[in-house]
Amino acid sequence: MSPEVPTRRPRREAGSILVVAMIAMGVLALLAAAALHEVGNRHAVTFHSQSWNEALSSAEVGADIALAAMNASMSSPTTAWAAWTPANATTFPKTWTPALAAHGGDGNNKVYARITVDDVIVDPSGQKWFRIRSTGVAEVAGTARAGIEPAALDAWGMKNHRSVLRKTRFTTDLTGGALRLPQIARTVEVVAGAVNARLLKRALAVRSSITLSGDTSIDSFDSSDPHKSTGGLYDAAKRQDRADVATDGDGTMSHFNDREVRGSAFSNGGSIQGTGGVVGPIFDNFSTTLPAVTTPVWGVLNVTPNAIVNPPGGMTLVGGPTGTPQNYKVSELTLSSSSVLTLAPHAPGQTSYVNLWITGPLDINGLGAIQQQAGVHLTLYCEGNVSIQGGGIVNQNGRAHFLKIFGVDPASGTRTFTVGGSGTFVGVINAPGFDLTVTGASSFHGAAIARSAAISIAEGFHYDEDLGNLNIGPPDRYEFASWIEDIR
Amino acid sequence: MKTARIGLRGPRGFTLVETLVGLAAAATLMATIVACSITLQRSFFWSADYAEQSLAQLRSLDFVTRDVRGARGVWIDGGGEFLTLELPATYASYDPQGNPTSAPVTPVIVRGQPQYGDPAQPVSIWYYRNGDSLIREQWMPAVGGWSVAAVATGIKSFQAQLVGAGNLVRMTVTFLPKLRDGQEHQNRTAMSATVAGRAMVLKWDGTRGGGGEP
Repeated sequence: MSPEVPTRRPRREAGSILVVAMIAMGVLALLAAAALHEVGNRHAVTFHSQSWNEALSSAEVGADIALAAMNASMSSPTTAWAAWTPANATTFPKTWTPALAAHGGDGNNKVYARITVDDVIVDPSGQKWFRIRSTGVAEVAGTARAGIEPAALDAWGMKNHRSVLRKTRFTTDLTGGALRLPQIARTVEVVAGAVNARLLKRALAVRSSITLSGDTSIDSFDSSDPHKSTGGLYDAAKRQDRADVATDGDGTMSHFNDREVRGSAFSNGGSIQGTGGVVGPIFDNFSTTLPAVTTPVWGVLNVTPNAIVNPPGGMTLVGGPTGTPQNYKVSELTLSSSSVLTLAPHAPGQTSYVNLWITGPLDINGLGAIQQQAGVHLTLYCEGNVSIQGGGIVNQNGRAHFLKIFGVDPASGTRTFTVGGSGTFVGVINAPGFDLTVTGASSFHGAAIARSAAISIAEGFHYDEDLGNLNIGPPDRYEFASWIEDIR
Repeated sequence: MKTARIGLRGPRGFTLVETLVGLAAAATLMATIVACSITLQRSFFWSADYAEQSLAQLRSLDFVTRDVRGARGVWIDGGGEFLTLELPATYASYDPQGNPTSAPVTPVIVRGQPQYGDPAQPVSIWYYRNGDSLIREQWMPAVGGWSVAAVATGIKSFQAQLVGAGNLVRMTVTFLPKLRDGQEHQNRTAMSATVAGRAMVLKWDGTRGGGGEP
């Protein structure tokens, strides 16, 4: 019997294969993990950017929702805020969180908005403006991962958490559970004001007809631009061509007699006659609404005087500061001979506001005058006929927006509004129910709205382009006036 | 007697030919592995670089867009290399990095327009290229604060221009890849966008990726 010689395989060979395989797998796993880590971080930042922009869209949608409610409140104040808290017409601030919009599809994140509307902003005329703060929130796809997006470094290499542009929320939920974490929030603040606050986009706008005659010339300047005015005043050497003239009536009813109009002419059908002096385009497809002027609504009213009729030795009315104007209501205002009504600021050199409501006629003639001192804003509401002769209102500010004369639409018939004599009128007229006559060897600086207008003026009608931004009318709808993002 | 012969061949070793063939095969395999590794590594870094540049593009666009939309004035100087924005002084206080630390102030209405802060002391922001960085510089005169931050690095150029009626800003930022192969122009990442002020309009208006000079 032959002895068996055992054969042996070296143990090391079997063992080293396993170890090598494990090491190889480990190396590959590390490589894969590193790659996934890098990819995941970049992927996360892409999601952050997407959600960052979705959050802004959501915030702006919230502002639009609030604007829709405000506009609805013009016609239906009791129901416009039904979805808001509180739901009544007058209590502010109001808040609303709309229901989440339906969504679906790959990469589609839920978005959320929380809207607050307050009315704490009050302009100098006492009109309230709405401030909307809308916070839009968007989910961030994926896990709570910071990504590779660094904070912006300053010049010294410093950074803090506020410097990160897209501030992702990993632990703080702004939505009360409506959205999951992580999420990104952005807030916009929008201020909305009355649309028809800016009616004076043109030199002259009327409901029916315009007649220009004599030496009348209509041009423009801009009291806010030193290149288009001198010291805020009209300068013939800097006159402009933006003095547009418009009628909402049939153009055939208007005749310009080839007088110079340095701007465009508009009519609502029909051709305006005698437009040889119009330097700009002429349109016959114009249509607008010149809103009726109504009597003011004031919460506080001075009980005296009841009427101002040639006060012996003159009279002084004192204005109030911004937000608290002094309101007066009189049955008549007549200044003749040398009677003077002085309007003074509440403190020397201060901006001050006087509102004067005249339920009867306004008649200034002879040497009678209203002396509107520097800093005083005067707003007149006139229910009766108006006649201002011989520079009857001396606007010492020299700027038209300091003097606003409203002609309240009569219940029936029409009223007359006459500016005549040899003085200079610096102010604005909004009297769409009045037949306006501007005549004499004088000049007119400002803008006018009337039922009809007959202009025969020796030293020119000068439209102040800056009046295009002036708030002069009651609101009938709102528009955004400013937009900022709260970047805290 | 039977003798087991298993394993007797082992000690004989390899012939020279076998050794050379084995070495050649091993060398080829190693060379392939190394080449693949290098290629993969380059590809990985290129991809990473491209991703980072794309993210820097997004960040640059988001920064400029945010500022332009809130601006009340825009100026472009230096042949388009300096973008200057003037923003209302919306906040009462800022930290040293130029970030606001208080709620927005309540605006007042001046001649029919909301006005934030002191109009004589607006916040000024400049964007420009310094070296390979896109710099955002901010001056807040109301609080005496000034900050400078690098919004993005690795950029080749920054160009801005006013378009439309002058209320639109078109900006182009061109990035340089970190790994260059001597054909830089083919590997440049360009971004262009047009942003508007309060019109709230944002649109892409150019190419992204490998576009060369726009």
